[in-house]
Amino acid sequence: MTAFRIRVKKRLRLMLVANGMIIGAIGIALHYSNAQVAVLGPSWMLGFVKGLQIGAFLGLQTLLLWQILKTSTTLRSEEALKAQYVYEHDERRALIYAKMGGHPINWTLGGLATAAIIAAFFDATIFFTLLGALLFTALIKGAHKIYYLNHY
Amino acid sequence: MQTRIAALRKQHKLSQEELAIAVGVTRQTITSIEVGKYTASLLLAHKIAKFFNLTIEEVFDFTDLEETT
Repeated sequence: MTAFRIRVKKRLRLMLVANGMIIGAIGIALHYSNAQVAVLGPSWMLGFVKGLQIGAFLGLQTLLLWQILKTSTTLRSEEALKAQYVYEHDERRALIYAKMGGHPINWTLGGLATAAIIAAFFDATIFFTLLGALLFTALIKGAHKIYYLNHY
Repeated sequence: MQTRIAALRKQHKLSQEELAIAVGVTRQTITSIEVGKYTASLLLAHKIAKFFNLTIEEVFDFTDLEETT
């Protein structure tokens, strides 16, 4: 359990760093709003792209803050830590995770999301294409998750 | 796969949660094994059998799996 506690503490530190990076990203997105007018064309498109970009950052930050709070609470109780260990090492859960794509699909989703966020600074067409690909991949993952949760 | 886990639990007056904690899995995994949706790994089957002081064959019925292979 000591090794797992160290791993969870490391995860907590990584989440805090990621949270700081998101705050920086929100700052950059707000700062470059004027520059985006030239490349994104009509104001309604800029508003949409901007809203989605800032919304994604804020959504991600809310999720991260929730996870940070949950992880800190877990670290304070030995029982909660053991429950978390069992949950993360459960063999049925591991099988479902592998069947729905495992790490590769999460890396793909992360890559598409990052690319879409970056594309939002330069080109609306690329942004919407990447957003479509991201939503489709997420839909495939979600559908597989529901299917395998009922199957096993 | 058919198992005797539910019957053994009742015999020992154990809840799914208690058995799950004892063998290191979630309650949902025990539920899935009991209803035959999920086939336990060799390690988990060994842990469950050991918990009840029985052999794997006494807890799990492999007849269905033997017929399909």
